[in-house]
Amino acid sequence: MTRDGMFIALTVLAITTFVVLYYLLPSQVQPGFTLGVRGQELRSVFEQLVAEQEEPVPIVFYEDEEGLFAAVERREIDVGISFPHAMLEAIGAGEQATVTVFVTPALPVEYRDAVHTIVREIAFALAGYELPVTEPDEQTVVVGPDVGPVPLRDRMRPLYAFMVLLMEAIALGALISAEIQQKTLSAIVVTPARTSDVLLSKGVLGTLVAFTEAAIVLFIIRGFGPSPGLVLVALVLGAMLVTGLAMIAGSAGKDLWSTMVIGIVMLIPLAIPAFSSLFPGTTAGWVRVIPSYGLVAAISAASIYGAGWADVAADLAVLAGWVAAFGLTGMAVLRRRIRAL
Amino acid sequence: MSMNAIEVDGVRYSYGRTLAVDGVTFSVSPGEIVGFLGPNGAGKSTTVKILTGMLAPDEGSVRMLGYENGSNRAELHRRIGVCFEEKNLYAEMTGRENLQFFSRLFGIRRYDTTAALRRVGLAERGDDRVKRYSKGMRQRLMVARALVNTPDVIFLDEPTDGLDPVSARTIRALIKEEAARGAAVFLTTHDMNEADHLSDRVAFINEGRIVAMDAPENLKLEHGKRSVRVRLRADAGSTAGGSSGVVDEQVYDLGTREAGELLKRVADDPRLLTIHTEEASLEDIFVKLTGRGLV
Repeated sequence: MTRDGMFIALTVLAITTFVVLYYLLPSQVQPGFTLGVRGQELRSVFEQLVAEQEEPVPIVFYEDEEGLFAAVERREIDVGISFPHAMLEAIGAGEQATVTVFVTPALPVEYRDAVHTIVREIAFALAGYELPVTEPDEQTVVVGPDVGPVPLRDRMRPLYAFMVLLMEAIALGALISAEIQQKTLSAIVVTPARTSDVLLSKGVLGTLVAFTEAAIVLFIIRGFGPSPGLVLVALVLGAMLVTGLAMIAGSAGKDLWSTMVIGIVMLIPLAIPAFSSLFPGTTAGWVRVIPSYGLVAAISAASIYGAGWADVAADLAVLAGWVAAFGLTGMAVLRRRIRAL
Repeated sequence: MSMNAIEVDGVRYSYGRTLAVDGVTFSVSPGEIVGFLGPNGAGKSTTVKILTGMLAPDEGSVRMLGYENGSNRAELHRRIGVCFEEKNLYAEMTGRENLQFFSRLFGIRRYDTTAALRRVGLAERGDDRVKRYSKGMRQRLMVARALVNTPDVIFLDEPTDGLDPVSARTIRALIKEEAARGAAVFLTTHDMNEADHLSDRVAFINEGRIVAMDAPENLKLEHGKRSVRVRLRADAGSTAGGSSGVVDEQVYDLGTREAGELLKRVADDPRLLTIHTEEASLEDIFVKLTGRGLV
């Protein structure tokens, strides 16, 4: 099989696999949840309650409401219950206590009802009788866009898109490497075509192919969400990013296999944000500085949470910066390589 | 006054500390075939890269088709054709597609690929992928590609490399046709015999310098021996001139005063079989001038 044939076969196989995998994965989620509580003074009551459960809910205690809120925001926990300070004293004084509940957008509605019951149970356990504790709906704060639970297959959309871009980057790198090794580029640069024409043609071809394939995959797996323009812009930027990397890998490689190895080594770190999007609440700070983060964040936000331009503008701007850096570096490296032919 | 197609004056080029081309000066007229001869690493490829605008000289000037030092490169490239030593064709394309692709790079809308393929003897195989071509077929396609734009200056690097004698003759005839049309041909080769037969002038390059440049005949006259080898039927017991069975061979130096008299006597000798001129080959002259062979 020829090199081109191999890449065509791999592309078709990968796209088919992604699409089949997407539709094979469950479209609903049935998660358990982790609970956070503000109020160390309530630890013994909670531990007693948990001990009575058939399937105990993991509980994490927080010193203050800010810490609890931040944990829900980071999705380290699914539910945060903030009991007011000196709740019992307040009740004893005839005042009404208000408990605030923070939940992640992905928490199913039935779990929210369960949380309401838990609050009542705890109040009862604390006082030994039904307390005038209110936990009205408006105090249940959804941290982030309220879209309900997100199935794994939908969280995988950015990963699918990135994998397609990655494959096309490696294919383009191999193509460039082959043109350098076989010196076909030498034949072109002694025609009226200039080196900049060669760079432009490779850049446009690479971006177009990678973008088109990623867009097709996202279209099939319904990954455009309510803001298709936003997703398309993110994909164009992503395709440009990997094209720049492909130029670097293609220029550095001595043959097909070394180009593939260099390409994969360069692109693996870029896959980290896509993988991290599979796990709610784990987007660490260092992941945000990886060049592909903006791509993943924009696709995730738009296709899963229905985010708009304003929500992802910063991520896209950072991504555009990385695109400029990698694009210019890739073109400079390839230009230098062509001149050394 | 007719303008030279190529004028090179005092060109120097270094790769880091390694001097590759050291003050090269020469010119090539339209319709002239110049053979550029030298061993590997002598500076041939670097000179060609400078002439084709792929490298800029560190010093000196290159004027080709009126363009100074690679100015207006796109227009210059529109008028030159290059046949590389490496068979850098698109192997997944057919021969015809290769020619079509390159003709488009030259802005030629309707290129007669069939005629071009026929010219190099590939008309029957034009629609085969290049990866199925033999080495000789690829070489012929390389030459056809270099001629796509009917260039005014043609650079040919080992154009008959890997060709069978018949194909080589076809390509040599084609090169002569191009020169007769008015194209300047810059021929880089190891093949002294080819350079001798094709070139109007040859240049010997060694360690980045041109050590001699002239018509092959002039170089032979200047640097070669002036003598004839005479073969005579041998008399019994003769050993003169180095006997070889029944044939005597004698070498007469044409530079002596008695040469004419000797030759007249030989011509009248009834034992005379053949008279051959004893001229030096270009390789002999190259070795004499540089103290090294061509490889």
